[in-house]
Amino acid sequence: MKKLANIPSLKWWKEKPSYKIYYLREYSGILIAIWGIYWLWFISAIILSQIILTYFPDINPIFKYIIFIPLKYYFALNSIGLIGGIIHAITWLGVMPKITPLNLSKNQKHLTFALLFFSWIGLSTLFFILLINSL
Amino acid sequence: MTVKNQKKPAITKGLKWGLFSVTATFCAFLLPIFIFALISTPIAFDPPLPDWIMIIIFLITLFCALYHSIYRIFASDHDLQLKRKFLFWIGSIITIMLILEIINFSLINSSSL
Repeated sequence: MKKLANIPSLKWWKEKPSYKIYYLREYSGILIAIWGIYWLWFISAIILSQIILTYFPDINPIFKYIIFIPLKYYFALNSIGLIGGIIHAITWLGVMPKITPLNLSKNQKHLTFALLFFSWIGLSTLFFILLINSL
Repeated sequence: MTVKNQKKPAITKGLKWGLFSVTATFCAFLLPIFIFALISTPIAFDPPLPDWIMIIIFLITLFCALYHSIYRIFASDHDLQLKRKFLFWIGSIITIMLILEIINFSLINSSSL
């Protein structure tokens, strides 16, 4: 990534509330990355455990213990991902009316955000019903 | 103007950004509710083998989330130092897990003896 000529100060984001929201939005990307890496670990642990329990059933219990570590942190790390995902999605919906080339007024921006938010909730609910029925 | 002075368009950069944008839209609608469904159903310890379509959708969502977040961390590194913070958080979580697991394992061993 190309570096900027003038690097801003470390605390620039504390100057305005909107900067703080921007910071929170960027920071939530870290939570999602942590969630993604956790799931890579989780999937590899499931595959490894299947292989080991099939071909090496008498393996040392310490190895079994190590392999099943990610299963214990399922709820905690998924919650981290959920928090990051919700913050990132809602702030994205908030940015959408501002970046459109329609030059909307303040009220129109609020209305667009509300419409986007409720359509997001509606689609999420539909997908949740689909997901739960398929499991 | 000679041909040598003409700059080539950054196709790779554009494609990367395009993928970043697509993964953002995909993840915004699917990721939060997918995680919510994963937490609210006990598939972690007793998986009832969901449909292969759902597995593929989940893997696509996982790829999108990882690509999007890693791209964002690298893109915001110049002003927010997100790469350093990301490494700090990952390191902290791994350290906490290690400490908890060592304590847990030693407690299990001491009680079984």
